[in-house]
Order: sequence, then C-alpha cells, then structure tokens
Amino acid sequence: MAGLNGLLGIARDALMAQAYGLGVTSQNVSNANTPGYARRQALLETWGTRPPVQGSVHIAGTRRVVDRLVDRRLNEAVGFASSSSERNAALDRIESLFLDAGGTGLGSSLQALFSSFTALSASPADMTVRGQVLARADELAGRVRQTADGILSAQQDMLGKARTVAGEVTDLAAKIASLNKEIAAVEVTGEPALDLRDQQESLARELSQRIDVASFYDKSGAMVILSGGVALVEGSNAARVSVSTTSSGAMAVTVQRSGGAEVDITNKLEGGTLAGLKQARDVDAAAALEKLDRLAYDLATAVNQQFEAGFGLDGQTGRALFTVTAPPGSAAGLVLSAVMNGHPERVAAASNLASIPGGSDNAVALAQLANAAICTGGTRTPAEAYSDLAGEVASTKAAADRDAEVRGAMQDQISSMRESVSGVSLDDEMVSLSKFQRAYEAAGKILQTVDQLLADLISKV
Amino acid sequence: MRVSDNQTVSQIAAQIQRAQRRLVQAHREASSGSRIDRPSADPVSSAAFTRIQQRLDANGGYRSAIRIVQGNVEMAESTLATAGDLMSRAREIALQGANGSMDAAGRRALAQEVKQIRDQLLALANQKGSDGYLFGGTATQSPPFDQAGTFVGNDDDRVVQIGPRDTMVVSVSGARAFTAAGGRDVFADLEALQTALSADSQGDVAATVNALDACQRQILAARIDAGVKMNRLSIADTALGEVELALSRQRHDVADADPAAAYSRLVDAQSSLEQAIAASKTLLGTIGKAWL
Repeated sequence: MAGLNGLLGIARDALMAQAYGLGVTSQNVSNANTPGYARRQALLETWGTRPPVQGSVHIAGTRRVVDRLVDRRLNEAVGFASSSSERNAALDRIESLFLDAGGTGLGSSLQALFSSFTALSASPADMTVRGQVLARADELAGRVRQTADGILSAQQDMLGKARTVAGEVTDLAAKIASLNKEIAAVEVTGEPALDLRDQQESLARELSQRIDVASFYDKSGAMVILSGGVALVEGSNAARVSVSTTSSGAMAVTVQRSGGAEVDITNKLEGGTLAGLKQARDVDAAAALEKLDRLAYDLATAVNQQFEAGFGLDGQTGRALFTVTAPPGSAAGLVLSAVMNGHPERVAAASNLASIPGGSDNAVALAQLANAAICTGGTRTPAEAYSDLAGEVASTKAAADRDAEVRGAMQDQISSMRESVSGVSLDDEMVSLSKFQRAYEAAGKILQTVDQLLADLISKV
Repeated sequence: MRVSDNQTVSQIAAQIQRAQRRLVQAHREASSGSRIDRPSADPVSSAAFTRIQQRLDANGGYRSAIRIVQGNVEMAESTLATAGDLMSRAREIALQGANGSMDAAGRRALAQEVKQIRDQLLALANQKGSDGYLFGGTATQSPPFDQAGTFVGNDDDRVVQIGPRDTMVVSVSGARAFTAAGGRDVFADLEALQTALSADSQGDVAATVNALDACQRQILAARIDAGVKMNRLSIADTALGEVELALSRQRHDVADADPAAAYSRLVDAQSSLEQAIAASKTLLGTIGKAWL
C-alpha cells in the first residue's frame, strides 16, 4: 500500500481522471444532435500492480460506443429503403399517365374512336360525322403518343438522375478513401481518430443511400467498401462509378478502379437510389411501355386492316387510318395516316364500291372491333388490353408503395437500434456529470486530508 | 433497452409523419369523393372502373347512333303513311273514273288530280333524312327517283351498330315500297291511271283499280316494316338505358367514396394526429428534464 506521498499521487490521478470524465460527458452533451456522432465513453482503469502508483486510476482513453453489426445492418436497411422510395417516387409519375378516373387515361379516347365508328354507321355520308372519325383517330393517336412520351421522358429523367447520383457516389467514395489515409496518419501516433471515424461512418451511410454498400475494416483499421462485389474503397484508393446505357438502351452501372477495367455491377445492385432507378426505369416503366407499344400496334393494325377493306366516298379503297410501325416504338410513333389527314370523304364506311355513299357495312365492322379480341395475341379486346395495362401499372405502383412503407419502417427500426447503442441520452449524461463531479469533489477531499496529515506530521517533527 | 434522445425524437417524428399521411389520404378521399383518384390505392377497383367507364362510353355511342337513325326511320314511317293516304285517294279516283256516269271533262279533271298525286308521291319517295335520301338504299346522296319516276337507287341495306354485338338494318326499302321489286311499279300504275283518265277510257280506268290496290298494300307493307324497325330501335334504346343505369350504379360502387365512411375516416385521422402530437409534447418535455 502506498504511503502518504503515494496517496497524493492517487488523489492527483483521481482528479485528472474525473476531470477527463467530465470532459467526455460535455463532449457527448455538445454533440447530442450531431448526425453520425457515436457517444463517447471515458475508459478508466486501475493501474493495478504497475508503477507509478499502485491502485491509482489510469485514463486509458475514450471509445466510440458502436455496434459494428448494427451499423452494417443499418447501411443495408438505408440502402433498401432508399431504393424502394426512389422507385416509388419514379412510379408516381408513370401512374399519373393512367389516371382514368381523373381523366388523363387513354380509356376514354380509345372508346371515343369506336363510338365514332358507331356514329359513322348511322350517318355514313355525313361529312361532320366522317370528320369526327378522323378527329377521334387523331386524338387517340395523340394520347397514345403523349403517354409513350410521358414514359420515355420519365425514363430519360431517371437516367439523368442516375448519372448525378453516380457522380455523388464517386465523390463520397473518394472522401471515404481520403479519410482512410488521414485516420491512418493520426492513429500511427497511437491516438484513436474518433471524430474522423464518425465522419467516415456517416459518409458510408450517405453512400449506402445511393448504392449497395458492404463495409468492413481491414487489418490496418481502414474502411473497405464493396458494391456489388467490387471494391469501391480500398485503403486510400477509391473507384469511379459511372452510368451509361447499353446498346438496348438499358441503364448500366459500372465501377472503374484507377488503372483497372470497368466492371458492370448493374445486375448485382439491390440497395440504394441507383438500384431503385434501375428497377423503375428498366423493369417497371419498360414493361408499361412495352404493353403500350403492343396495344398501339395491335389496335392500329386491326383497325387499318378493316379500314383498308372499305371504300371512301371517292370510290377508292386500301387506305389505312393510322401509320404505325412494329414494336418497339409503336406508341411513340402512332399517327393519323397522311393520306387520311384532312380528308373525311376518304373514310371507308362502305364495304363495296356499289354501296357508296350510304353503305355502312364497313363502319359496322370497324365499330365491332371494339368487342373483338384483336389485342395481346388475339386474346383481349382493346378495352380489356388497356385495362390490363393500366391495372398492371396500378398494381406495380401499389406494390412499390407497400415495399417503400415496409422498408422505411425497417430502416426506422434499425436506426432506432443504432441510436439505442450509439445515441446520446441527456439524462444519462446528467447522471455521468453528477457522478464525475462527486468523485472529483471526493478526490479533492482526499488531497485535502493527505495535505492535513502531512502538515500535522511536519508540525510534530 | 437503452433509449437515447435521438431515438425518442425520431420515433415521435415517424409517428406524426404516419398520422399526417393518413390524414392527407383521408382528406383527399373525402374531398374528391373518389376512392381511386390514384389507381394504386385500389388496383382492382380501378381496373374495374376503367372497364365500366369504357362500356358506359360505348353505350352512349350506341344510344346516340340509335337516336339519329330513329329520327330517320320515324320520318320514313310518316312519309310512307302520307304516301299510303295519297294512294288511297288515287284508288278512289280510279273508282270514280270507272263510273259510267262520269263524263270526259270530269275524267280530265281527275287526271289532273292524279298528276298532282303522282308529283306529291314522287316528292315523298325522294324524301331526305338527316343523312341523305331515305328510300334509295345506300345511294343516299342522289334522288332515288328521277322525274319520270324511274328508280335509280338500289335495294342495299344500311346497317347500324346498335349494341356491343347487335346490328340492324335501318334503311326502309324504297325499291320494295315504290317499284316492281315490291310487286308493282307505283309511278307507272299512277301514270297508267292518268293516261286512261285523260283518254276518257272507262274500261282502262277500271282496269287500274286492282293494280292500285296492290300498290297501296305494298306501301303499307313498307310502312309496317318501318314501324317494326322503330319498335326494335326503341326496345334497343330502352335496354341500353337500363344497362347504362346498372353500369352507372356499378361505377358508383367501385369508384365513389362512401361519404359517411370517408368523413368518419377523416375525423378519425384528424383526432389520431392530434393525439400523436399531444403525446409527443409530453414525451419531448421529458428530454433533458434531469438538468433542470
């Protein structure tokens, strides 16, 4: 056991340690609302049997209170949630093109064309009614084009956004890599770079919002980040992420390490904005566009075929109502045929030359296409094919909605777990503050007592 | 479990967010009166709505086509009724002319009247409807009878779509009403009467009576045909009207929000948001309380 001088040493160490504890507590309080901050804990231990003073307290340092597993799961959850919410937001725009109850869908224009054929069958020689047929056909073609353009421009915007995000990913990866370097430079002195690690974790979280992130620490304590199995950050090296389009127009995400080849990780992406954009653009929107193309092509082809069989008032036959190309691109290119444009007398209401002008057989045949299975490989009527398309868009959006909700809740939950481990609780800190304060006062008392004893001793000598 | 302040705060934020989202959704439903202003809110109902709406639109198309041809068929029917009256007058004239007490001057006067009847009948046979001549078959854009009473139209049917799988012939055949295709050439028979009267030939006049009888029956038959068509059109229209009513009701069931339910959901969402805010205030008040 130490003598009086030793007691002085213990008191000194105690004062220093409690003051250190107070410092850590105030650091926690001041960073209570700092994003990415993990609460600190003062690491105090006894000197044990080691010199200089047996039984005295030793300041071993500060640690960040983190659970690496929870942090990793949080990154993953953040990635999934942001992927889903991005997809959901993108689909919102696609869905708004098919609001039949709100008056933006194709349904009413589609039916209007067939109703104009019905009206034509009642008044085959009426120029106004013939003009209506052309107007309705033009309107339908216009609406189909608008819808296709709406999808295409949404896809274009998604690609633009993906490019921006890829730029941000590259920047973030570079920052994380340079932090690896700084951390190594600080920690080589034996001092842990806690604040830098906070920053790095918080950057990794931002990164995981944008792209798949699997992070771990290598032997030297540097953060390694893998995306789709390819190293994005390794030591002080960061890769470049870029977004391009393939020959088929699909979005491709590639990673290029400095001096290395570009690696395509598109199909491995599951989390982050990029994955959400990829899904919305190349799966969901592409499926809607493909169905729309199919509908436009089937409809225009069937109407044209019947139209070509009929005769206009001028006795001519074989004229098409629409100009359409085979998919893909049928919907975006659907137009009223040039030969019909502005020529209501050419509308083919009669089925043979002799029955002009009052013959309406062909108009009836055209009107009956509304109830004929001319779409989707001869299995669906035009109205059914359209309602299939709109229904699929709605179901996809509904699924994306639910997905975003569930994954958002999951992120909240894991985020709450992370806060439970690493977040600052002011009440906790208040208790620590009192604890260190009292201990400091007690250590002061020891000092005073030892001082008193020494004074007594000196006066007695 | 350890609870940190950020955890408390973000939980509060999430709860208020959720309550707010529910409120906005309930408000949208209550104010728009529609459950499916976003199809994804209920994809099944929304697809049903699209199909019902299209059927309603198609129904409207059939009904307006029916209304147009109804006018024409009605006009054909009343035209044929007038033609029938004219023919019965012609027959009376023939009977009068065949009477032995009639002198040449009287027969000439009757011949004049027959000429007028013939001209009137020609005008009737060349009657125009909303979309051209009624009695020329599909040759609707030129008069079916020339000045000589020769038929230059055709006997082709004009067909109209009056239902999803329902078509009908709506033209009333002028050929069968007025020409030899129906049995007698009405204008030729009237001309024969006029010639016989002008020639003061009692025997020839008497010989036309049977033919004129046949003409009258033939016009009556055409008129009955028009009447049958009118009837069928009105039955079809009534049926479509009933379908329309049923579809409108279905559409209402599928798409429209139940106002009472929507309003109570709105009130519900509002009060749950208020509760969440009140509870949050209490919870937020405890953060850092230890320091005071």
